[in-house]
Amino acid sequence: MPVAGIDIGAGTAKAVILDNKEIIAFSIIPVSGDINKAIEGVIHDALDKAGLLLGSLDYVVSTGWGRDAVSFANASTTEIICHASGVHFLIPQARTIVDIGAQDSKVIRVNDKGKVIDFVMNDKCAAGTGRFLEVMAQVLGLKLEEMGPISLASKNVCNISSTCTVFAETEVVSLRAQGKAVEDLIAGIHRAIASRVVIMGSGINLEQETVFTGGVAKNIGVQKALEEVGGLKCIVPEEPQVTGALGAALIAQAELR
Amino acid sequence: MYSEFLSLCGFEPEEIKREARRIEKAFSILEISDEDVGRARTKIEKYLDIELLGMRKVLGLWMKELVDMVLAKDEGKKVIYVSYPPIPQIAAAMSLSSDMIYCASPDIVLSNTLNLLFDKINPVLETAEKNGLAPGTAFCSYLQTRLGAIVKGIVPRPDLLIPSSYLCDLTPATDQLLHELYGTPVAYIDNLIDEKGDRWPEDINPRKVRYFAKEMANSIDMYTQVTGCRLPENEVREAVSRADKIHFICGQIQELRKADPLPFSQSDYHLAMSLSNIGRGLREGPEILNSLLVELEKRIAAGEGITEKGAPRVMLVMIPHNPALAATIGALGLAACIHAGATPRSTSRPVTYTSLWEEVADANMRGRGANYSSLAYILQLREVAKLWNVEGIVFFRHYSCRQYSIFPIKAKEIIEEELGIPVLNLEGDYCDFRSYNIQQMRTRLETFAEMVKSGKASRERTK
Repeated sequence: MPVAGIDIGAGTAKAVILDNKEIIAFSIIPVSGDINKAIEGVIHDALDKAGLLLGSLDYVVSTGWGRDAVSFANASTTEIICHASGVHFLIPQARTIVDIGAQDSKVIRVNDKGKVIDFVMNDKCAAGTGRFLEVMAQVLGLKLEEMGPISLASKNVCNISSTCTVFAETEVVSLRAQGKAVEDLIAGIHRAIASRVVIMGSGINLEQETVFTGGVAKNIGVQKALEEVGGLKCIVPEEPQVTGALGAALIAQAELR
Repeated sequence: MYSEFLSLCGFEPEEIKREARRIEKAFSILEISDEDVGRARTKIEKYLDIELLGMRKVLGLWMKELVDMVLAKDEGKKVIYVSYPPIPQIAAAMSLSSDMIYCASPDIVLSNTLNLLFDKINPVLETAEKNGLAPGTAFCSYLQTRLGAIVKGIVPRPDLLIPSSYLCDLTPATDQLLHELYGTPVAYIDNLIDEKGDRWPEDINPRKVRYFAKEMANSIDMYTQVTGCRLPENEVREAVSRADKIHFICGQIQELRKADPLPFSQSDYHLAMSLSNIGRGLREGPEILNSLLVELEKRIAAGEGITEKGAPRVMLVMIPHNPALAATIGALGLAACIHAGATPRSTSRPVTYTSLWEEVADANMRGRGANYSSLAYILQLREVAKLWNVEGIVFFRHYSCRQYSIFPIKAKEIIEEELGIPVLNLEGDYCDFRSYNIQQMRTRLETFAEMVKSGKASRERTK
């Protein structure tokens, strides 16, 4: 009885197809302009990989900010609940989750059953999100995926005092003009994001072993900064971007029981 | 004329006829157009409980108060503005003292009408921002409403301002600005909440009671100087008893909100409860609220309500002047059944105070923790949450308020630890909807609703 979870985020659409608690396929595609195109694209890509048709799915749960646009979903729920469920499935001992996506960041506290017991969310300001990194990559003329590896070479991390995307951009341009090394600047940018998220999560007691998910979790530099700034040991799932979709698929499977 | 709209607000045909000229004049000053009236009708029909005649009449009282306020000077009255929330006994005594006195807080009258019904507050806020109350300077949108409306000329310039600082020290600062702009006399009632308050309500600092009482008595002296009217003790006591009558009936309505399914929404209750702050409410409110009470009793007897039976009960601490928040919470299957001002236990006045204003001061601080200290307010909310057995609490943090933006952080910590129920802190603004919307809060509210439902189910399993 195959089921699917679809997570429509601000930057990417993710789908996971699950059969009897086994992930049989997943897909991640960028969301650009047309959300319906992204929904169609991500589900069909995942279905193709699984060798299935849409009609063969027994239940579909959607999540993410675009969850209501998934017309073929049987139910929808929030990404906070889905991340908790997905992470609990992969790493049952996890009690706190840091999720940094394109447009928002969240810190989620879960119990031993993977249920959300507290959370904080930043969805008002681009600082502390993937968008902050995208803007900084543009300023530095780099590709987003280059940021993490380059930052690891930093010997003298720059202090980016502003965690506002607009002001940080000015600050980075100014520091670059002063001749600061790119790797030091990027490490400073990562530290600015990490500080923001750690402060946000301090109210709900981040555990030392924290699972780090979302697209930004693919950036080794932000992971390192979170560990340094927050004194954390980050556990990053093999594919950190699909935990929300996985959680949605698990909820879909539970609905069938 | 706007007769359909006024009928929706519980106006009787003869009232519409009698009040038509005044309403037209007030709407013209407020620049309320046909389009605005249409929007208000849509909002009322969508969000408020107009199936209940009593609720329509509550809305009618707010509309009448708006007209009374806008036309007060034209009708030859002396105008006095108190702060919001007001010291209810002072506001009531002045409102009822003479037909030639108009006394209210424009902050709340405009928020419950021009803002909540007509969505027309932005020009008022913008006016305030251009006249001394810039955004981001800790002067909240209630204060911007107060100042902006006076500067814009949609409410009359007052003859006397009576700000109290026991809840907010920036209302006096706003009124000082109005004094600088127009020379309006100001009677400041000082009594900052500087107590620790961990023994509230048993221990109320007598020094603070005496100081607060003296400050209130001084404001009455100034009232007499400005208006030429005296406020003898018997009149004040009569006014206080009128306000108490409203509180008593609202307490009965609040008790009915224990019924399952929930019979009456938080948005509607808030409008009814606040009638004690306005002259129309004090004069005509008791009869209307009694009829509302009877309608609600009938609704409960018929097993009807506004939520599903068994919906988890939550406390909603403060709500914006935008009914969409309470409606969203309801749509998520939660019953917002109790408000922040509820009193948890007997807070009767001790016999130690014999002077009128000392009694009033003591009653204010003992009756509501928020009037004494932030910690006292948290203790009050914790007790109310226990008494009402709620499954979760939503704090709506007014981010431009120094008290209401900060104390929920500590409240969350204390209540979650002691009661083991989830507490959600939402940040927004009670009157200014330019920089956020309720939709933006949906993910947080939906997650909170799931947490509440899951907690309730788990508690029921272990019973």
